[in-house]
Amino acid sequence: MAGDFNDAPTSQPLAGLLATPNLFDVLSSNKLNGARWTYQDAKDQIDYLLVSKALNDKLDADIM
Amino acid sequence: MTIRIGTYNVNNLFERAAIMQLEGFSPDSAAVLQDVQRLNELLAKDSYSGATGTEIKALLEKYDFHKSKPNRWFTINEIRNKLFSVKQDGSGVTIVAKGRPSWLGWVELLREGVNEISTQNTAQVMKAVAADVLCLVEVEDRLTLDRFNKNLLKPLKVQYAHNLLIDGNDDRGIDVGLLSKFEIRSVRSDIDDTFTAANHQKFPIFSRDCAEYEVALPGGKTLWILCNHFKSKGYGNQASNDTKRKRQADASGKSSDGLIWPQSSW
Repeated sequence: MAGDFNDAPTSQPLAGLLATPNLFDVLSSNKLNGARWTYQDAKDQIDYLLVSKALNDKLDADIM
Repeated sequence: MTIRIGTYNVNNLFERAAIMQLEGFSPDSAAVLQDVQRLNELLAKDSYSGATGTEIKALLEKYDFHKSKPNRWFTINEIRNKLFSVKQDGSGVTIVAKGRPSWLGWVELLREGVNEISTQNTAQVMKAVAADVLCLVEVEDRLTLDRFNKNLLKPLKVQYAHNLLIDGNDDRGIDVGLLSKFEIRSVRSDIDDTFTAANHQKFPIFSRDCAEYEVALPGGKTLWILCNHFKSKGYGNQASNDTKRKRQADASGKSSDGLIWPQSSW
């Protein structure tokens, strides 16, 4: 699942979706280091790529 | 095989509703959009008598429909019969339609060209990301996406053989679409998914869509990608916006549950 979710990872509206079993936010992967943001202020994440466990297991940490 | 998947809110490619050209979430744009929403609510009524007509008149005059050069944000498209007339002395408007059944027309947001440099930069970002499958947010329509693909991406040697977009529920021309280097085998739109409100009326869950694309990958595998654009925080009541966003998020999770897990054979 991909797109502009218009809210932060800690927000209440997204809590249920982000807690879906076997659905993983690639930006929260421990394969990534550094800042985590997608919005113009370089602080917030409002865009997401959520992937299945099968895809997450093969995630290559090359995210822009 | 390795595939790169991306998502990008492009803020429209060539044309954007003028009101959305204002800095994001600005009070000015929020105020105009609320007035447009209110005007739409009023115009949907069967009768424009009394307070309804008074409020329609006030809104039209607020946005200079009695002047030779009305506002730059929206217009009234009158297809059959008239909604209003301008007083001869130009001092205001007179509501001539008696109600929704007596005229055919609608409020339409006016569009302006997107800054050319901005569009070129959007293409450069896509080149840098180099996704094989790219979910796009806030695109006008499919032919615009196709034109962008051919006229801006191809000269940069960014080749997407396939693109798809279905018009969603938002009348501002901000839809979700897909660029893909692989065949898009099918798409399922969720524009008709509804919820029942407290007043027992049904409304669309998705402000735009939760388009579900089936992408055929080399080697016979399938990638399902759901492209979404949830309700923004920028306009209207925050509690209401949060409720809408949560409803959309929860519905998207259910859609993904039915699509993805049975086919996870990676």
